[in-house]
Amino acid sequence: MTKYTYYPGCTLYTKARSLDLCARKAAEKVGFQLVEMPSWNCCGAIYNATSDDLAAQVGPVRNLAKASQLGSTLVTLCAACHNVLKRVQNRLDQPGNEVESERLKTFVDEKYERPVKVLHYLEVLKNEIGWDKVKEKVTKPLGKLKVASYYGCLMVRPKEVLSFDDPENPKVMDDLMRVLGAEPTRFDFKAECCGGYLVVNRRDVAKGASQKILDNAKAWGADAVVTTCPLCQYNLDKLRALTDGALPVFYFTQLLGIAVGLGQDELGLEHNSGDPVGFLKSKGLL
Amino acid sequence: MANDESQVSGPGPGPQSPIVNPQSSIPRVGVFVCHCGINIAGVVKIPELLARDGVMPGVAVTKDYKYCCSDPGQEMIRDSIKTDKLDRVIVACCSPTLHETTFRNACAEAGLNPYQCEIANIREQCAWVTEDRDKATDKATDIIRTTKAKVENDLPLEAITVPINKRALVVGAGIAGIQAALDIANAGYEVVLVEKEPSIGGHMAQLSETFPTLDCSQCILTPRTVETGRHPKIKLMTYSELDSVSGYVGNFKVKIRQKARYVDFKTCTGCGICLEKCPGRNESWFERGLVRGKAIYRLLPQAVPNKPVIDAKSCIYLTKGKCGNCAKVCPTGAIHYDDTDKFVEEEVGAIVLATGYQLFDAAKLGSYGVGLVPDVIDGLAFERLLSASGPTSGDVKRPSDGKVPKKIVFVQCAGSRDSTNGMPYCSKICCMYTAKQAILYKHRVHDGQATICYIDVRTPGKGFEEFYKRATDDGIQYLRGKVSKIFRQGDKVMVWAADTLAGRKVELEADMVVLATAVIANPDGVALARRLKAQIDTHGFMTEAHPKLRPVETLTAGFFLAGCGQGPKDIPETVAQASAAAAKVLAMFGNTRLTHSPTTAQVDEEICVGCGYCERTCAYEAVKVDPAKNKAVVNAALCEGCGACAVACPSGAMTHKNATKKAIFQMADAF
Amino acid sequence: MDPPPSKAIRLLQLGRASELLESDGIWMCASCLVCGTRCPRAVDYARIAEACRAIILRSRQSRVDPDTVTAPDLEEIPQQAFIAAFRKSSV
Repeated sequence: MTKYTYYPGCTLYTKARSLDLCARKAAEKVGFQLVEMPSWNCCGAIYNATSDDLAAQVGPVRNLAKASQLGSTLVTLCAACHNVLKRVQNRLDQPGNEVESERLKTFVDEKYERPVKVLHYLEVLKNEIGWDKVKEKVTKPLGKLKVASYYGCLMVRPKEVLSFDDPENPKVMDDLMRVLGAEPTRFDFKAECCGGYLVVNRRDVAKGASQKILDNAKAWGADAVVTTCPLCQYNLDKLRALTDGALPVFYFTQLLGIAVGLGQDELGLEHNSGDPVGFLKSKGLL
Repeated sequence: MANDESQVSGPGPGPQSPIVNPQSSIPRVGVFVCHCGINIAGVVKIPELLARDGVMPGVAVTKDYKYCCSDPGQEMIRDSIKTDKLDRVIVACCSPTLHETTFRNACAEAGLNPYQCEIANIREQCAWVTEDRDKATDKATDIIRTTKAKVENDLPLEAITVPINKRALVVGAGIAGIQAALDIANAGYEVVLVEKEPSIGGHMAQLSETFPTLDCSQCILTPRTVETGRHPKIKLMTYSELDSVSGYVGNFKVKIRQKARYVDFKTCTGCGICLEKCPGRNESWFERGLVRGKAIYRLLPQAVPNKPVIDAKSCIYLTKGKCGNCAKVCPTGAIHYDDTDKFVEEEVGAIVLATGYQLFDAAKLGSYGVGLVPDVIDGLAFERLLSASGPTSGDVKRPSDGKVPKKIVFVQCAGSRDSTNGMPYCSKICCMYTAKQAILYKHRVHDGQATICYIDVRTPGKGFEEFYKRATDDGIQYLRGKVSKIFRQGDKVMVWAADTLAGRKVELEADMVVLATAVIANPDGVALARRLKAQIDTHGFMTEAHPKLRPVETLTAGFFLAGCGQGPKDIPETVAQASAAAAKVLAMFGNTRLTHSPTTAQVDEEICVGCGYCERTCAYEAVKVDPAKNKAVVNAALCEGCGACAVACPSGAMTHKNATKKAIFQMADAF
Repeated sequence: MDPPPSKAIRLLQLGRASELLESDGIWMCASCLVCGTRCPRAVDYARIAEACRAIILRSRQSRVDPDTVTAPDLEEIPQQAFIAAFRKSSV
């Protein structure tokens, strides 16, 4: 079984731990193993766009250096960690950027052995494993569940760096849903911002943005929403009014887990608000 | 002198006096240095230059003047040729692309062979590239010295003349092609008009009314199309494409593919019964995807010619061998399922390229929801909704449910003016046609509300600004701000735009959205240009010979341009350009013969072994190895004098008139 | 967002940066990068907003005080939100 160096990130390690476990177990069923990188540190949660603040890059550089000693790829699950690590790696290995790159590496004890390719879990499924192999491992197809795939902004932008999918109309998660037997619906808000970290001090903004996303998913007839970022999942899941007809918001690994036959207690469903178990039972998926 | 093979076959350019200076073995060279105001004189030290030139052996006289290209300047040169008995002239001035013809004509008038006059470019290649006066003067000296080495080797040549086949080919029968064809045909010359669709009229036939007059498009187009269809001098070939061109200006041989129509145009009466009975379905580009057409179809009821064709891909009989309804009901037996593509060869003297435009595929605009959100259509599709002969007979209805939209948002600059998607240019016609479409919508739906989201409103033509004011007077709301996103909410279409003049974001709820998508060069036209090796720019539009002064000619002699194939433009400009192209063709046809520069390649048959390297190198197909003699033969009329074959020739048999190896080595030695 | 990106850039072009720095708008930016993706000239407003925020933060002025976060929120909200929010808006 192929092993990949894995970077969980702070939220998946603690508040979303159950999702992390479900992702690892689903990976094993599909045919790869996520080996957590030892003593990783916080990635910084958001990329610092100023060109002179090198201190903000040091944390991610250290993670990349440690990863480089274990191999040439690093798999992330959280979209925010993926965004930060990939953009820092791009900056580090950019031709023409050697002076800054060397300076950054001197702040870190670990040696940056080789350029590291930062992959998202979805990329691993699509490019390393392949949809055909994933389909083979599906033992409980998702019964044409109508699902809106919500990517959020960090997965697909900036498009020059996060280049594996379209920045306005990404498809990789929709493709996965189809492979798992669900029916991805049309959705106009795939990559619009949920409000992100503004939930801390401007909750009204995050609430408004998230509501628009959910309204559009409903307009297209979705029964559920899948996400790939713990913060998006929180904003969409917890900020909305829990009325009848409020769409459940799952992490894509939870649906992947169901499809490849993980048990109900292995899916981290206690993390989702509302009655996810009841919903899934009503769709015949549990 | 060696290689003395000047051809004499007719008069050269300009009026000529008898040659006053017989060829002497030591040429007497006159050097004329132009100040070009301060362009040259401000950098090159002219007195010093004259002094240095004056002491060069063989230079009989040196003169300078402020503007040599002016009448007194040319007079000075003509007089000097006579008084100083010159038999070679060098004019040290600007680039030969500007005034070589001027000075060569002046020399010819004074009795000197024009090909023994050379230009030394001491402006673009010298005075304009440095501020260092000493370096400039040194370089100017070197330039003149090398030019002197060349001109001393120049032989007197006579321009070649070729016959002209006074027939024209016009490619594309939209309004541009139609106008050009009519102008040429009305002057009495035959025109072959080739159109790849089954009938003529182009995009103008799809329009409802045209700005700024709101003339019905068909009403002003059909008189032209009918005239074209019955014009005795126009050979109309529809459902045909230009396959290849060989030859040269005045003498083109063109091969035209006449696509299989499966309908015999001679026996078909255009009754239309077959159209009613056809079950096959065709993606109709004409209706922009609003409805599907039939497999046997004509583009519109007023089609010229009014005969249908069968689209083989969607015909049930041709693909599966079933049906055959049309053949069964045709009263004259005009359906022939065994039709094939045919090739027709024509000979013409001039070709006008009028291949037109397409609209950018709006589905590529990621955030506008095209293909995803119903009732988001492009400008031409809305024209079809407005058109009386369109799929809704002119009623504005939503494609999704047929309801009448009460609120329409028009989005300008959908794709244009965007440097991130390869279309940084302005498509020119959209501001006007969007205003027009909004005005027409309000005429049809009196309580309808139209909002136009724009970045700028561009109204450069006659009556255009007044037309825009009429739109705002009609209550059409203009919001300044590019639309960011279009999405669905229930059965409405939501638009995120901005009102930058009021400084805020707006969210509009509409029943329908019309996108003014970017105008792009017709991809079939681009492919054709590549096959013909006609020049196109980075966006696929055909390149004119000079953007200001030669807008309808190309750098390929004999190819002319008209219409949107050269760049986005509206109908008045298209018609003007088409008539201009026709005028150029008629100017060419007004001559008895065409002249061609004699500075062509030539073969020394004693050395040539017939290896064929020259034939393979030539981009103009001007040199071929004659299999009977096994020697290369140059067709001087096709040869553009580029010199590539002379370089490629391994034995040195191929040389270039007035640019022989001897001359070039002497030029190099002159440094 | 006040001022919106187009107005913000206009203020900068006209040398009225201080008005932009005093505004609310630059703190509303979540760095989602839709602006630069849709702009036909690829103007990266998110980066400009980041620069404005950095100018203020580097003069030791915080926008958000960590003490204002309630205990229940601290429990509930994913910590990545706190890290990101405070990196962007406090010193």
